[in-house]
Order: sequence, then C-alpha cells, then structure tokens
Amino acid sequence: MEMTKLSGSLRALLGCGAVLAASCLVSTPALAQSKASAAIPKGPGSLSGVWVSPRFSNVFKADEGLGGVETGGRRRYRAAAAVGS
Amino acid sequence: MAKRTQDAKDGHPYAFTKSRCLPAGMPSAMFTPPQLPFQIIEEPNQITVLFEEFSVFRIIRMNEAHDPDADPSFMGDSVGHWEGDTLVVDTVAVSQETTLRGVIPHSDKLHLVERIRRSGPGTLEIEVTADDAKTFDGPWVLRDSFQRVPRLRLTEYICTNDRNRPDEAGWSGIQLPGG
Repeated sequence: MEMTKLSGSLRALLGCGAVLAASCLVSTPALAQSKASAAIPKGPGSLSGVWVSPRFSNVFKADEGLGGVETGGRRRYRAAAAVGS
Repeated sequence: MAKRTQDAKDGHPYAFTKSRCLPAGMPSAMFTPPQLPFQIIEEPNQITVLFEEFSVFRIIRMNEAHDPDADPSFMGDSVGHWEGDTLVVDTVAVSQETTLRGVIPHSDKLHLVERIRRSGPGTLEIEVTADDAKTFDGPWVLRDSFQRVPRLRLTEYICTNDRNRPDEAGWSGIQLPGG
C-alpha cells in the first residue's frame, strides 16, 4: 500500500513504529489539535471573565523568591491561589 | 514627537497620563500591567470592560454606528460586532491626552480597530491596529495575550497625587508662582 493512500493519522502511527504505537497515536498532531480546539470557547459569551497578562504569575514567583510575599499584599496571595488552580 | 524625544534626552521625559494620576485611555488601556486585571462583561447589546487600573470602565456598543457628535474621551467612542469567533471593535474620538506606548502622540483622527478572540481554553488574544493619517506613515499593530483567572476579583484602585494634597492651611490645588 502506498503511503499517499493512508490517512494522516495512520501515516503518523506507522511512522512511529509498532512498539510505540499507542503513545504515538495519542500525540498525533491532528488529534491533539482537534481536542484543543473543542475546548476553546468561541464567539459571543466567550470573552466574559477576569483577565491578566500571563506575566502576572511570573511577578508572583519573583516576589516569592525574594521573600517579598508579605509586602506584596493581599492581591498576590489571592492571585497566586487562583493562578495555581 | 521630536520635541518629546529631545526633552527626554535633556532629562525631562514626557509625563504621560498615568504619571499624572490619569488613566492611560485607548489604546494603552487594553495592554494592562501584569499585576492589574481587567474584567469583560458581555451583554447582547453592550460589552463592558472594567479595568482595575484607575478603576475605570469602557463601553462597547454592539451592532451600532458611531455617535457622530461623540466628544473626545480617554476611552473613545467604541462600537463592535462579531466576525465569526472574533469580536471586532472600532474606536474613534479618542482624546489627544492618550498616547501609544506611553509617549507616542496622535491626532484627533486616530482610528483603532481591535480584534479580540479566545486563542485557547484559558487565553485571550487582543490585536489593535492604530491608524492616524495625520500622524503616522502607516498603521501600528499592537498585540498581546492574556490569561483567564476564574476566582480573581477586581479591587479598588486609587491613585493619589501629593501635589493635590491640602497644605497646612487646608488649601489644595495647584500653587501658582507668587501665589
């Protein structure tokens, strides 16, 4: 059978070898992508919520490393718990 | 811009709005500092953005035309609509007090087009195209992404300015030379 006649997922599976077949199938890019896109809220109603820059968690970690959590205030305590959830 | 650059070289950097206890306004408002969250509230005819920074808000009217008589304001006059999964927001009438990146001035012709969409299960992407034929050679594109924090609540933000604090006699406000 020619490779060109196989589906993308099957081609990826064969490319990974028989021994690693199961784990390889799970990590097939096409499957992973469809799982991720299914979990993304889209359109009206999808934007509601509280948002912060991703750099926010780094700010907390930097403060923690310096022992500065106490002076960082309540905001950082709460945010750390929320980000870590 | 040339004057602001020269002033900065001379040791007098431009005092942008936030250094004067005034909000950043658009478009900088959407690119908040890492510690300061914002909240989006969606309703059928209106999307409201609450900013912790300076405790200000922004209203986006959905599926409407711009107000032709809109006075310039820090947040401008914003109208929005959905294009597929992306919220597209058009903003005009932005006060010339605001800047791009904290220092770049603009004219009364500043026109902003934002494209806001969910880029992942817990992430939001905002892209702002800023055009101003009276000021720029071409459009600016500003882009950033944000992380959703489910249990975080906005808290009060008060900016204090010592220059406005009452003096020993109880007077407040700007002291004029010789006054």
